[in-house]
Amino acid sequence: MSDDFSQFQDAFFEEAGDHVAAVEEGLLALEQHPEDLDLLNKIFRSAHSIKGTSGMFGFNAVAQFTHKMETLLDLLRNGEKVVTPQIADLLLKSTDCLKTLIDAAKSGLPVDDDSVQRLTIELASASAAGSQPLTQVTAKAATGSSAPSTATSLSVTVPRTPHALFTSPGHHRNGSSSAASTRCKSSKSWPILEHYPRSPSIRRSCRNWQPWILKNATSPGR
Amino acid sequence: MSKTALVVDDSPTMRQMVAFTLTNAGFKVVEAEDGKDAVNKVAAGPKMDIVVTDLNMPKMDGISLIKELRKMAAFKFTPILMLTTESAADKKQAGKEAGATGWIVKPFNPEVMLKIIAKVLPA
Repeated sequence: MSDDFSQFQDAFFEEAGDHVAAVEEGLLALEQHPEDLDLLNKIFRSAHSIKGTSGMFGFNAVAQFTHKMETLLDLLRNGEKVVTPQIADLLLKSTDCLKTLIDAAKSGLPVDDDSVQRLTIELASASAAGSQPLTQVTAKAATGSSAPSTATSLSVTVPRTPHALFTSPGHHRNGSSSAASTRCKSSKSWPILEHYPRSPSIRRSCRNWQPWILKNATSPGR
Repeated sequence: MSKTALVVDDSPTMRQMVAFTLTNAGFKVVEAEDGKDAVNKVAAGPKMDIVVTDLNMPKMDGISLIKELRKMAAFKFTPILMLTTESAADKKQAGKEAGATGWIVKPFNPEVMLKIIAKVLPA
C-alpha cells in the first residue's frame, strides 16, 4: 500500500519548497531579531515538517540532513544555544544544501556528498554541548585533519521506536463499558510504557505485535 | 456503519497520506490543520471514533489538543494516537500524561498503522 503514496510526491515537493522558503525567510529575519521565539518556532516547524514527510517517500538524505538542522533549531528555541551570526550563517548555508537535496530527490541527480557531509559535521558540532566556536570547527573540517574521524562518529542515525501503546488495548476495546474504563482509570494502572522493536517486514511486525497485546490483555487495568 | 477518524497535522501532504490510508480502510476522515482547527471541527462535527494527531503544530500543539479533547465527555475514552517524528522520551511522557493512547513514529507504515488502530478501537 505504501507504494500508493507516490501519488503524493508532487504535493510533498510543493510543500517542501514552501517550507524551505519559510526557513530561509525566517533565518534572514532572525539575523535582525535573534531572540524572536515565535520566529524560531516557525522555522523549527518547517524543518520538522520536511523531516517527517520526506521520510515517507524514502528521501532519507533529506530526512537525515533536516534532522541535524532541526536538532540545532530545537536547542536555539529552547534557549540552550544562542543565535550567533555564525550559527545563522550555518543555518542559511544548510538551507541551501537542503534545497539541493530536495531537488536531487526530485530529479534523481547526485549531490556533492562532501559539502553535505561538511555541513552535517558543522551542524552536529554547533549542536554539541559546550561546542567550540564554529570558526574553529570549520577550519578543522577544511584542512581535513580531523574531518574523517569526526565524520565517522557523527554518522547520522535517527533512533526510533516505531510505535507503542500507553494503555491496554482492552481498555478501549471495552471502552463502551464505562465501568471497565472507570476501573482502569481509578486503579491508575497505566501499563509500563512498552517499546516495540522495529521489524524489517510487516509480516514480522504483526507477528511480534500479537504477543504484546496478549501480555497487556492480562494487565490489572483490564 | 463506518467509523470516523480525526486526522490532525499541519502538513497537508502528511494529512492526505494518513487520510488516504484510513479512507481506504473504510473510515470517514475529518482533517484538521492544527489543534485549534481540530477543536473547532469536533465541536461542530460528528462523533469521532479515533484521533490521529501530530505533535508539533502552530496555534495549538498536539499535547494541548489531547488535553482539550480529554476534557470533553465525547472524547473521554476515544483512542488518541500521536503520529510524530518526536523520539524524545519527554514528549512521549507528556503525551501519555495528557491522555494519549499511544504513538506511531513518522515515517509510518500504513499497514502497521491500521493494525494498531484495529487494536485500540472498541469492538
